[in-house]
Amino acid sequence: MLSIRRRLILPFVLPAFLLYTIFYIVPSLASLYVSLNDWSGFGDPMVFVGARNYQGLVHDPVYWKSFTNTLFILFVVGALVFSLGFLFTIILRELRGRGFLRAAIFFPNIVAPVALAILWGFLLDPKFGLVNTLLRSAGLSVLARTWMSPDLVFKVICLALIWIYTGYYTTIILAGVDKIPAYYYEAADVEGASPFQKFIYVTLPMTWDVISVAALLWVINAIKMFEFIYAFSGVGDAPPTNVWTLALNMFIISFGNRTPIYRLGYGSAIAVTMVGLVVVAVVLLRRVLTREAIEY
Amino acid sequence: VQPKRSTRLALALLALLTFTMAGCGGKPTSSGSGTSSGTSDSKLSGTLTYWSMWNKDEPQMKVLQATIDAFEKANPGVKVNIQWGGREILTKVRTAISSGSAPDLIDKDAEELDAALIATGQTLPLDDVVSAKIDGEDKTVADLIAKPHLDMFAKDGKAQLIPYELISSGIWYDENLFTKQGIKPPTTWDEFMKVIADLKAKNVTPLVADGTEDVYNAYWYYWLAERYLGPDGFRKVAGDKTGAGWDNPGVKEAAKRLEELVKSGAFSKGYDGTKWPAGQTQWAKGDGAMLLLGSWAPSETKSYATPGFKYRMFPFPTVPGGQKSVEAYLIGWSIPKGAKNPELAKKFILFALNKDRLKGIADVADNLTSRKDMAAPAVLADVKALFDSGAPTHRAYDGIQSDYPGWFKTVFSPIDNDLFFGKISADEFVSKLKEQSVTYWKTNNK
Repeated sequence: MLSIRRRLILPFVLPAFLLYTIFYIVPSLASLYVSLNDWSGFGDPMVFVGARNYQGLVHDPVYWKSFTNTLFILFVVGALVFSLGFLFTIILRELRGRGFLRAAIFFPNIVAPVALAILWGFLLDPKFGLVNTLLRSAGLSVLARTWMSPDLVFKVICLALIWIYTGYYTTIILAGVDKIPAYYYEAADVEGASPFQKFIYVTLPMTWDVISVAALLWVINAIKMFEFIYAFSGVGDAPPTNVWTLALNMFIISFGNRTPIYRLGYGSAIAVTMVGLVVVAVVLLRRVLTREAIEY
Repeated sequence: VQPKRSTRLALALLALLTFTMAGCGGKPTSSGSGTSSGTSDSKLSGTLTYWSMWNKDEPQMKVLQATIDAFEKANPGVKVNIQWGGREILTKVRTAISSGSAPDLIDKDAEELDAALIATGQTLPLDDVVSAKIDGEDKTVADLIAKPHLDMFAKDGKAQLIPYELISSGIWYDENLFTKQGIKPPTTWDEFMKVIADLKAKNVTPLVADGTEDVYNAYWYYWLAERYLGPDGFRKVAGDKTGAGWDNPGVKEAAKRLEELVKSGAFSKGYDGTKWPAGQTQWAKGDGAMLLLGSWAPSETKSYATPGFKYRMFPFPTVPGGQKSVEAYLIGWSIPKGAKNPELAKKFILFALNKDRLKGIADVADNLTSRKDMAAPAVLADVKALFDSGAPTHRAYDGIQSDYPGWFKTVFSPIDNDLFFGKISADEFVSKLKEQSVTYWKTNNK
């Protein structure tokens, strides 16, 4: 039996291995090579420039802006998404009609990011937007702002991202909560635990594996954050550089939009640094989050 | 759950890249029976693959579709394989060229065609089209399309693009509003500033802008630089690797005019956070007097313009001792290298330029055609007059947007936005641009 199994490993693994090699590993290595070249990505010849693209990145203020924007999304937006996620978990676990609420907070995830981006644009228009109109009619004109001005637009985008992603990660965490046997909570109730204590002593330890997977997903998602920001500020042309993330920077430099830049070499260098960032973040996160899973 | 567009695109391209690197790039060219270019035009046959920048149901698409139908009807042996690809068609074209499946004919804004294909030598020369007679007429392309427009993107003296639509930019206003306020369109910068002061005194917002669009914000500085430095002047400064070009006094003068304009409070409140198309909509509804925009302004805003809105445009104001050129932004056809049926594509161009077929661009699509002898739609009479004035032409954004797209987007636009939103002075604008350009050009080439 065992030897047959062993012989079957190869034919079963090979197709996946080949596909993975062709579509992931080889292109990744290729982009590492492309990042050492000056190349538009099309017919014209590649010019080997060594580390010049990377030197360019070091002196590129737009790159660093997109780098810090990405880190801001990764850590600050991430912290808020998960804090809110935990809060919703505490509230939703015990609430009647939580099915509806779950659906409501998940809602932003079933609408295309482009549509959401357009909606937010309408809400935030300085003159006719719903937000400023409501503020003014409530006598709170002092709070009305030019929400999409260069100083505020990135913060507003982050707020929108929190709104979009909180539901998604709450849903994942709640799925983990659902499989916790009810008697743990009943026991906690008998002991007179508050909802917060129940979260800390029951929910958190028993969903730790789910939370660490969700956190991992967030890291990867945050570093490649793209579509909402792209659509939010770039209907006609590529968005202004002050809202770029690394993924946007890479895309616009490599492929352009209506102002095509077509610098695949430089874009690949950005992509390589993104991979580096993902690796560092994932390794760190695994260090922090790995603990013995509780069996029950 | 989320469409990972960036990743998908990157992967697709990288996969493609892997194949080209493995050396299986050029697909064997299928021998689609080409036209025998030698014989007379009576017996055309074959398939014409045409990729267009227009989307289904856009007015230009309808006009071109009618021409395609007519072309197929006139040449029963010809099948036109049309793809309405939208504005990002060139990325597809470039991918197709490198995988050996280039279309026979494409159309796009000339600046973008130049950046994507012409500059890197991936289009076929069209000098034989320029000297050929337009289908059903006695005149040649060279007779009817202005020479500067044919020469603008020529390579080694040979046209690479045949324009069919002309666009320019200028300052748009509603004639009724000007009449009501007793204001005459200005011609010089001083008169322009006076108009702004007058409008403000009458409690009318002088200027509206969609400030979240970098390219629209860039209109202001680019136009001022054009006036001070003349055609190709700004482009030379932008591409100057030593940075010495930034010491040209015209560079700073242009920035000072923009600084004055911004400081005068000419722009509507919150223009720095107004997202396209909210600003132009506001203008068309009569809230704000003027808008600096391309000649697509009427067609983009007419559906929500106040009743009786009378579209007029005056050229960007002149400065003392400055130049007075006209922006020419062309949309036209090119034939990519590797096209299987270039002769058929050329015949199609000559067929489509026929007066009766091209006039849809004016009548249906509300745009200017490239032909000197054709009437403009009423809303574009001012633009047509500008082209007919015989003033020298310059490229949109002085050609910077397509020649140095990386510099334009990542160096110029952020600093230009700061000046345009009143966050930095003209002096800071020039010194920042000089410093960052020198750094940029050390490791970049476009």
